[in-house]
Amino acid sequence: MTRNITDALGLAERVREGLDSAESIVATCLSDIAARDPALNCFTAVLADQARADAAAIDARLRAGAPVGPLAGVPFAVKNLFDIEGLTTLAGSKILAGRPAATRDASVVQRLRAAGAILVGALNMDEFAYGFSTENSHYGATRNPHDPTRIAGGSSGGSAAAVSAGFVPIALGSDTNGSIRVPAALCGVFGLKPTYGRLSRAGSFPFVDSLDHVGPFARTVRDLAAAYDAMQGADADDPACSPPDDQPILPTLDTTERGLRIGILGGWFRQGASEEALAAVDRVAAAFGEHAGAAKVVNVDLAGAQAARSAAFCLTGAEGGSLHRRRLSERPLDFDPATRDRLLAGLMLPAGVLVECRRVRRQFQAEARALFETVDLLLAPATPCAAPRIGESIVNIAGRDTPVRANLGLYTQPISFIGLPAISAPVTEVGPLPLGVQLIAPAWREDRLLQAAHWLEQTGVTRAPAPIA
Amino acid sequence: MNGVDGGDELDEVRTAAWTLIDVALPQACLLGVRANLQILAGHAAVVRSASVDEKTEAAEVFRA
Repeated sequence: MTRNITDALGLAERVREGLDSAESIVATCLSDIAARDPALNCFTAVLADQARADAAAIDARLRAGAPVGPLAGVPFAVKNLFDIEGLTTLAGSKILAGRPAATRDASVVQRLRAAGAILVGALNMDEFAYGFSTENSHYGATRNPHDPTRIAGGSSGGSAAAVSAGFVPIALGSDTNGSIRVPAALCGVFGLKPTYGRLSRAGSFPFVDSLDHVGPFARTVRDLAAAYDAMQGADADDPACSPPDDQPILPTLDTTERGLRIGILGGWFRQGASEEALAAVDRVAAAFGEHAGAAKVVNVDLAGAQAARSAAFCLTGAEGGSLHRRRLSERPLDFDPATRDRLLAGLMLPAGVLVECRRVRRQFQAEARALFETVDLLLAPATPCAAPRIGESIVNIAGRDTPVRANLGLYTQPISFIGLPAISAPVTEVGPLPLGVQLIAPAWREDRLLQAAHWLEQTGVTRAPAPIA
Repeated sequence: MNGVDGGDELDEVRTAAWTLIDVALPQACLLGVRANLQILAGHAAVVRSASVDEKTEAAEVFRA
């Protein structure tokens, strides 16, 4: 039964053609979540009644001959920092649990629902999105569907795990320092962090305004593109959301640019990585090298990556701490201790450091812009290693003991720091656990990113592993 | 930031935390904050060493 709900566009087609009903799909989805989620802990709320009602409404429209959207009948779920009308937005915290319920859906949730998708629940995350593991002290750890003794990654761990497990074909997450790309890599699914300002964050609980992005997870690039297309468009409710154009990608997905120039990031992006993580990058690079479209693969460097990562680290602590200052003052003991201690430390950073962080950001943006004069796409590991075990604070990577919490975002942080669009794509045949690579494009070139990811998926080099029974 | 490495580091963290949020925090929290401050101090040092000379940047701003 669960295998039937892993392909969003396939489901929507069956619903539109009358081969399946939205109500039966939602019923399958809900019973699967009820049966298997207690072992994985992806969901913090399941909206069974609302989902059944929405599915019935889709079926009624179809019976009446009324139009339905491109995602008609497709179940989806969202990280619990997105507002859902009638539900309190937790953002992974205990502190917000006493707040009133949201009075409207977040903009991207509204847009997916307008496309016919059916919201089935809210998903677990690191408290206030500050973490890479989804070991939440209030709501429990989300377990990796490919090995439940291991973390799902974070902070959008519930989102990645829900798609990986086959509960829903599409989920939404947010990415400030890697919180879409890290869990996507560790759970073996595709995750898209668009350009900063591409998708609206209105109605999502913030973390670091200057670094926050939202984006989708899916098991295929086609589904990822379909979700992304449905959510595009400027939004006056998010001042940062001002894309230069709407860019429907699904119809162009089979277009492959000839003569793509692929830059394999060296230096910082190969230091501290496991053999498997590097093998994943090399496997994808080799596939591009054999590309019939005559892709040219070259080794490149972004010398400012380490400083960019450090600046992202400082800015995150300081902006995040500032956002939560009042809550830290009034209810410090209700925070997850790990989150609280990091936020307090961030609050103590001198202002001069933040000035220098912003200066480093401008330098690094200029360096990346210059590099994209010579290449079309960049390639880097998504994480330094596969999923660590739950509770493990140190992992040995390439002979060195490495703190898990600080280092899972080693290669994602510099990229989100300058707002570039990036996909984490799951690479096949590199080890017993999922691993991902990042494809990175110039600002606003999600089209190139998704087209290249789709081409790689067609070759079989990247593919989401089958959900675990 | 340099103070966190000194002999009275925990007192400094406690004073800084109280100044910021005016609340008594348990010792375990202060130790956690101190550890995170040390991590941030390392990152701040990397940022500082990479940041371009501000006069150069100011000149670029005026040229623009």
